Amino acid sequence: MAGRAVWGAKVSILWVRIRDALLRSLDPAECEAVCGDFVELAMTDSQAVKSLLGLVIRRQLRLWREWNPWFVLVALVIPVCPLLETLCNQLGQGIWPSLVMWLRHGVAYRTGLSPAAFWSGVCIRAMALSTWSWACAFALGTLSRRTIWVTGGLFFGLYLAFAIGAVHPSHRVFWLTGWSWLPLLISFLFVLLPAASGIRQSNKPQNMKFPRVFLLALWTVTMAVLTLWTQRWGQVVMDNWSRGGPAMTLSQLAQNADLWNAGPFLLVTAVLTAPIVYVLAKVYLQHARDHGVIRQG
Amino acid sequence: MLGEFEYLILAATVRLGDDAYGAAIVQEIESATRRKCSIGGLYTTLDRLEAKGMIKTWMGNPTPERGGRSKRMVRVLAKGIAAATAFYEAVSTVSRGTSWQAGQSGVRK
Repeated sequence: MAGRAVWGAKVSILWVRIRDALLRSLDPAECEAVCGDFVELAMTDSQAVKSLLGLVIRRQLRLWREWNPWFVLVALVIPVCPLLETLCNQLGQGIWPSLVMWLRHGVAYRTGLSPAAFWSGVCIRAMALSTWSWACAFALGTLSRRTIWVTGGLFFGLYLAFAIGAVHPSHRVFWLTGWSWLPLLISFLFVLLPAASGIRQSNKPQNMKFPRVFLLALWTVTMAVLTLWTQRWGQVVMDNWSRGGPAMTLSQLAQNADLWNAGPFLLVTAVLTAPIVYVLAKVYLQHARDHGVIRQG
Repeated sequence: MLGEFEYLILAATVRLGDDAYGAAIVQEIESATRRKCSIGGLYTTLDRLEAKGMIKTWMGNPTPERGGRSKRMVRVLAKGIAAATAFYEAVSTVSRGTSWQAGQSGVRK
């Protein structure tokens, strides 16, 4: 009896959460009117959810007749997801040999870099991946607030499709090995969790103030520059190795910094950094209008 | 030509007069048709009728029985009255002389 009561309470809480989530997707005025009607008609939470579903679906379909959600889909979701997945895969493949050598044989995997330089590079790439995931999801939540359920769902769905699809069918026999699940673990820690946090934080008005968005954009650009720098390390290390030089340190790499020869990776960092820069521009314009620097209209 | 549900909403709104709003219209339709009326369907149809220029809606004052929340008030405009009148006349005309009693449906002689 007690078990049934607890189960009933959990189901009731679930209906309340679903109802509240559906109500959040409506206009504030409509949400208030609908909530008041539910109270006046003494509807249960499950009845309210069934009543709301059709309305929310119709409202969402109406929103998708405008250009904004399509712009976010084409300019943000579709380009960003495969790029994040590629970077995540590269990070996993970069770490895996070193982990295996260290854990199984107790020796450092020779990469042509000093251990400090190697792990610095890994940390920079991991932080950049988290930063880009968080910032792109924050931009997604900001630019498509009313359609976030669909655009957010597509963002995560598309990313997971690329991540799982990256494991080739011929390698299914290796599914239980670390080589297969390490990129998925990295995806969860450095992409999915930060992205979920970014979308959640985009819902808070205090995070849309100009100083905060400026700092976020500045941090994202800084991580982009550092990652561009690490992209050049491979070529510099090969040149050094071909001359028979010892493992390179961070200071030696810094002297060989040549950011602008990062090739196609420049475009990758531009695509991943663009969403937060766009949000910064929007917030700045609003900030300037609010303070009378720019006239309305 | 109006749809059935659109007519029901317009008729219920006219009956309720100044007290026509979401929950009241739902209760009026449910008592007349003895069927459940969905809030979601009501609001969607109100949008459609407003887009056609047949009704006007606005946010009314909050009340304690609604937990202090505002209501969406509805008023039928002249175009809505004309459309509802046309619907009613069409249904009346086509129904003239018909009998719906069980086992005897058809034109009354």
